[in-house]
Amino acid sequence: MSVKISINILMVEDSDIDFEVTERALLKAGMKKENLFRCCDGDEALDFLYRRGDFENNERVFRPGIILLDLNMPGTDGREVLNEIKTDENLKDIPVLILTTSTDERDIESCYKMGANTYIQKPVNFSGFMEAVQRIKDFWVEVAILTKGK
Amino acid sequence: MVFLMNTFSPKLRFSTQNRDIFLLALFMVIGLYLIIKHFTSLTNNIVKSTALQDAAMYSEALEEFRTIYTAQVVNRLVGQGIEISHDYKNKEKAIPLPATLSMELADAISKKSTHTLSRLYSDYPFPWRTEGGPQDAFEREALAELRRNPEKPFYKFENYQGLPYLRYAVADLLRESCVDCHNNHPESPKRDWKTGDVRGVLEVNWPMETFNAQIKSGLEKSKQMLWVITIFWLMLLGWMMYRIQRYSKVLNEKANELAESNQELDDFAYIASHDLKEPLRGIHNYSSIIIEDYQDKLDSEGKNRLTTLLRLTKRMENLINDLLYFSRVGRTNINLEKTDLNPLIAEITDSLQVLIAENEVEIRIEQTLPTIFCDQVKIQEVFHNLLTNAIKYNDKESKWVEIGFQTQSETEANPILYVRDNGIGIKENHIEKVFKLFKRLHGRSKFGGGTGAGLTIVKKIIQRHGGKIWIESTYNQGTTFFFTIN
Repeated sequence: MSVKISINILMVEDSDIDFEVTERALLKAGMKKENLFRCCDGDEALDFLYRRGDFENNERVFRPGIILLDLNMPGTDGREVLNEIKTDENLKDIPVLILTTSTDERDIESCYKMGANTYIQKPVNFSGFMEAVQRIKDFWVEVAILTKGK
Repeated sequence: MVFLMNTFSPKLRFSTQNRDIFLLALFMVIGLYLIIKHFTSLTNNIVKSTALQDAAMYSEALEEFRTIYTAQVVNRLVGQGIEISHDYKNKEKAIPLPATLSMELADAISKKSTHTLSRLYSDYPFPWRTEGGPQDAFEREALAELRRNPEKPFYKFENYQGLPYLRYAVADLLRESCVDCHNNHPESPKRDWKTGDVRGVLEVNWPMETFNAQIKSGLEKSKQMLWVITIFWLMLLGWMMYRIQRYSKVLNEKANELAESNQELDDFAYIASHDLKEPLRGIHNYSSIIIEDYQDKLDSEGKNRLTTLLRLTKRMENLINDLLYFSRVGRTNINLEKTDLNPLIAEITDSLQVLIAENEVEIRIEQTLPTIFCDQVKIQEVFHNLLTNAIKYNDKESKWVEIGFQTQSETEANPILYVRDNGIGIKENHIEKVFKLFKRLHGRSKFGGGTGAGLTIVKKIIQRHGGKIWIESTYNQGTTFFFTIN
């Protein structure tokens, strides 16, 4: 059996409560806090991914195994970040999971067209949300095989 | 965006109007052309038949004159010492030959008024007549044709001596009064004539020039009149076009305004869903975290209040979702498909199996339901809502719900569908209220709760199908929801 590799997750989320609940659920599901990094908006996320600006020589920067992306954010929003990632040769192989409140058909369609790997609506219900995040973690961290990247 | 694009396309409408006007103008011009063409050919036909009649009458008159002259004058003077000669003017005691006199009569008339040119010719002309034989193609043809068929006049409309003429030829038959003379005349080229033989041809050349001139001026006047009418029409059309363009402009503006306000409404719904739900989720999640993390620090009253808070956030979410959904039903497109209601209803009762079992309700479907044109998903929603209500609002011992249909009338093919129950019924004064958004007739916890948007959405869907929904209900006995889909 292969040695279990811990997967780093980048979460792009402007809402503190949504981040807190997601983090709580991931920790509960067995994730380690150091494997999770949060960016509060699209610009920050792109800086993180391209290691520029504040992240130029930051040793906390990692290449994420999975990106959890919110759509509606101030400044550069999730749609633009998604488009940027999926058109970049070096980043496009990272699975991007859209985690949003938007139930709009147009968003769902355009995200998948841009290359989103899955689209999940945040349940309002706390326990529902906890469960959803745990399932995401189970699938993408335990079941799915991801690229290792360079 | 999808529904907005389909709601209005003012540009398309505008160009349709222009095309209609263009077609109208085109039809008018074509119509005018056909009228003038028809008019011209009609006039031509009338002119030709008039000319034919005139020529026939004229030739008949000449023939009759010759016959009478021969019978009443010439034959009486034969043997009385009077010579009958073509050269009668240069001789004493001579009178003209019938043919000679009739030709002179024709010439005299022609000079006076009609400009008719008459000729008598034969393939056996008397030697003194230098032009007594057929002179051109028409005359040769006429002679041959009339020998074959003496009864039928031979005619053509053609140029004669450079002018338009009706050339009308009839057979010159030998009458009894003439035969003797022709057989005995010393210079006669043929002596075995019998009564009824075609001796030659009497040709009347009827001038068409004057006719044509008259027709032309008449037609010209009519054409002018028609053109004036056309110009008037075109002006009217132009004016109408101008008006339509102006209205279209106003309509375009209105459509754009409407599209804009639709967009705003859509944005509003979106904002309502996202921006209102976000803080709501915050309240919900923090309450949940508090219950989880501070379990040992909270007393039971605190926990109860937090649970109520959670329930309220859930309720608010449901209201927001229904509001959002209701606004969408009004604006998304209706996709009409041929739909067999039987499997559709089966699917719904299947999905409601738990609710049906819990309430111990009998679902009655006694007819084979019809196939209708509708938006499957939305009509499924209608039945789902009506069935859920029928199941929920029932406190009887043995509960039933019946689904069926009635035909409207002989002329109306669309059936009236109905969902009937033996439930609690609706009081007369509440019947119209049930369709109001978020209006409930009972307490929130009674009859399974709900936001009160279900029937509003049902009514909206049916209205979007061009149908109607109405209720018949007896309080405490049951309710029937009837609806039509067009």
